[in-house]
Amino acid sequence: MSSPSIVSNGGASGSAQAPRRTIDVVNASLKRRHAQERRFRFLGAIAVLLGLLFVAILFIDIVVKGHTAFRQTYIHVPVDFDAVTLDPTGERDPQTLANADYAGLIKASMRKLFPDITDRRELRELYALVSVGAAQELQRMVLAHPSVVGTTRDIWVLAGADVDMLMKGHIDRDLPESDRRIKDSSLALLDRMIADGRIEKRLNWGFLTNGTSREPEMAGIAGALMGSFYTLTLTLLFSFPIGVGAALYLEEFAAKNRWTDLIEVNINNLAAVPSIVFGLLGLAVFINVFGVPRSTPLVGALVLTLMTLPTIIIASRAALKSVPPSIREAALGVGASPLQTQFHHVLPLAMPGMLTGTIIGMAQALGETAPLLMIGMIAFIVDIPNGFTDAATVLPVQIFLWADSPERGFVERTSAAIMVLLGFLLLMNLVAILLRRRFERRW
Amino acid sequence: MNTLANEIVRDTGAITAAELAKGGTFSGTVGTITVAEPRMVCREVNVWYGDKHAIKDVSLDIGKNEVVSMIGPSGCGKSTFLRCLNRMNDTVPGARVTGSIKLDGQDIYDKGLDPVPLRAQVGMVFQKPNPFPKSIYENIAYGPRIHGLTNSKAELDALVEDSLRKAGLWKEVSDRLDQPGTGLSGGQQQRLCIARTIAVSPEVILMDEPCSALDPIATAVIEELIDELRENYSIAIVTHSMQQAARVSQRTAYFHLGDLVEVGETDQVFTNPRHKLTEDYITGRFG
Amino acid sequence: MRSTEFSAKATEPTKGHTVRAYDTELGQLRGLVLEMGGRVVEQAMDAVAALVEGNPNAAHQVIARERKIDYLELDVDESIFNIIARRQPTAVDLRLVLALSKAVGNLERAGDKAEEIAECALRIQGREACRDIGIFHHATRLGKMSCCMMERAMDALARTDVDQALSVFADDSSLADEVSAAMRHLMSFVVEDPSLLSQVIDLLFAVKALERIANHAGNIAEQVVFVAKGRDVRYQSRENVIAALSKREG
Repeated sequence: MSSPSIVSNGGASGSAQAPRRTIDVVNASLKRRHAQERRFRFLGAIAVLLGLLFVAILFIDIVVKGHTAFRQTYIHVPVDFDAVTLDPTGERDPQTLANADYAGLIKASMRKLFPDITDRRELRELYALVSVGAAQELQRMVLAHPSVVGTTRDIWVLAGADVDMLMKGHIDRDLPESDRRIKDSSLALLDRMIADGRIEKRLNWGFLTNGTSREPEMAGIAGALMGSFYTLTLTLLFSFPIGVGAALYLEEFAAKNRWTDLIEVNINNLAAVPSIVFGLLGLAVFINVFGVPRSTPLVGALVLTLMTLPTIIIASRAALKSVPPSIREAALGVGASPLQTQFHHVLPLAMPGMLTGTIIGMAQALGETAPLLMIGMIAFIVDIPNGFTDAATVLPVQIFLWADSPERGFVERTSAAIMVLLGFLLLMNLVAILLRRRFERRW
Repeated sequence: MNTLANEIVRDTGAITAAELAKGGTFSGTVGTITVAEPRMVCREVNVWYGDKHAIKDVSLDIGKNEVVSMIGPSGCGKSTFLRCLNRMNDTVPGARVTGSIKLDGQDIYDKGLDPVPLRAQVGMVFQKPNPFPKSIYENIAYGPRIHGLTNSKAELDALVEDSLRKAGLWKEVSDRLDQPGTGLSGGQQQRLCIARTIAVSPEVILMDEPCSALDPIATAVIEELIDELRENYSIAIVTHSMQQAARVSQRTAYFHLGDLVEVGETDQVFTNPRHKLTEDYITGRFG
Repeated sequence: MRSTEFSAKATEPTKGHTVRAYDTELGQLRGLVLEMGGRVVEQAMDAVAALVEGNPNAAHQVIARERKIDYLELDVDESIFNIIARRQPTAVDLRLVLALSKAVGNLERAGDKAEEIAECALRIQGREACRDIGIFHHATRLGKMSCCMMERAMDALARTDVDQALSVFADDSSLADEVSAAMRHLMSFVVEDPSLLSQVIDLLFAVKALERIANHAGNIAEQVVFVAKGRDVRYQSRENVIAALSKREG
């Protein structure tokens, strides 16, 4: 758009024109300015929509893959808790009970269900329909309730992984037998059980209470959850006081000279260091020099503390900076010592910002995988950890391991574990928002 | 016969503002810097902010139960000088103070002296009212609590009420002591800050332009309060408004570019200032 | 009474107010007062001329113009009132405004005295007076002295000139002597020719009036000293004042 002339002498027209008023000049450029504005808004809206779209795709993909993991296939079998097999002495001795042959019990139950199958090969196929974990379930049940010895009950036992996949529709019946994991004969057996109503998909509590396992049907995230819990608790315990304390000292008490400038630059840079470097540091220093037991929440927490400290310090410093100096002057003016000024007045006002920073740091730490791999929290640990120095793994690592496994059953479990992880992250962010809203003050 | 002659005095060879701004040296404070019963005695006080020489050789007394006002153009150092009196300049990095400032005979810049109790003895009210973001009760109670001035809740309650009464705020807030202090109007907030200062039983109250953020009615209320406070405290007030200085104070000190140019009885300074710089500033011929 | 020493400053502030309207108002106020002073001097001179020459028309004119001086006083007072309300003058400005207020009061009364002289002139005229030059000699001299003092007082006020004010004080003493001499001389006329008594009485009134005009000029000079030095020198012995002010460093 050409620039408008302010004064135009009317040469050809023969009469002099009055100079253009400022408002006319402004109006002339108005259309262009409004068009620019509309374009910018449009682009912004598109960007937001695109972002939301991608997030939605991600979530939908995960949920679609993972929601099936929350239900598990069980087979209803009559189990004869034969006293002779289980408890020959009759004393209900726990040791004896524990060592009894529960697998045999299940096999007996299956034979009872299908009395017409006698061939050894076919029997083996039959037994394979039930998960190996079913025997452990029975053992747990008997140990917990010794009174069942001598009775016959109908128990829902865990089905094998292939049965589970079939029931959830992941195995295509129409494929030729050589391409399928389940043979036609097994299919026939399953169809009979389905017809009898002996197979059902039930709520998969095991996912949340079991540790990991080679068998996908028995695998759960309890171990990883507890590992994450212990690790995060320790991380919070270490990083919050140190981070807040460091920020407080650097912001309020330290002299402003070249050294403190250097420290500030380094802290800001540490926030950008790749997290795997911290893992290497943890391996070299904590494990090799200080001899902290590897693969434990303790060393994991130490590594994660180092990682989240810069985040917490930076957020805390920003929060402290945002407290107006008039508060400090008022406190000093009444005769408060510098420490009292900080703890009674400045810190409470900066706390919302500090907490937000901490929670964000914790949420980051929850999702960290790389550094924890370096310090060994990748080991295959079946037991659920009970303390800070028990070997453990964390949820992201568990997801990583399961994602690697070839079995079909682990695909859905991986996605389900991701859902749980995302759920926790969402929860933590919500808490951060609520805390900030609740404690925000206007001054 | 020559008493009259002695009462009419000679020229001091007064320097002009332009000459001072160009770096001329100031010949010396005009007027009486001493009082009969001083509360604070300042002698040859110099303040540097880094390389900037902000206060140059200022000597001044603050008397018992009197209001001293400090006036002068922007940047003349009156606020800086005020903040020396309770060592608030300690919090400014790069600030250096020399000279002697004595409170009741004790040098407040003594190496061994803790500034924390000093600030309870020499309280400060700031330009923008800055109550703590706590309840009204807590605002007043905080100071006495950290200094351990009371022994029981009842005593503390009584002290809070007394301070609020002295600040003229009790009637307005007695029914809402647990409300946040920041919910009051500007004038009330400033009176709350004054009550907070009084609660720790200071001897001197410093006020840094206390009314500049307030409307005329609130200002008048505070000026009346200053008059009442004079019976129990010594007050040093920095103000931009010469009319306020004329109304409120007994002695007035005029600062110019870090020098104390003139100090004297307020009536005299505002009807017949002795130094040309003072007269130029007061009559509006400055700048 | 008043407290200790104070310093002398340059008599006129070298810079105007930052707010120029303030300067304009003060200038206008001063102008009004100077105008009033000029009229009073004119009145006095015309009245004495009417007295000495026996011109009744001139005397009537003086009496008629007296009104104008009164109205000027009202204008000045109103102007002062407004300046105090709006500008809250301090220091030298305050002293100037208060001094102008007092000066105007003095001028108004001096104007009344001039009117009195004119009335004396009318009375003498009506009675077929003695035209002996000697009898009017003192009135003429005193008329010149008083008018000169008043002129110099107004000049001092216009420029806040202390030296000019001091010269007015100096004239004051010689004027007192002249008045005593005049009264003795006039009394001698009565002794010689008692029929001149009424005329001499009127002349005595006129002489006294001229003395009063000179005193008012002295009062105005005192106000000038007040503005310049900040010291109220009313009711002090004039010699002391002159001595004290002359002793200051130049």
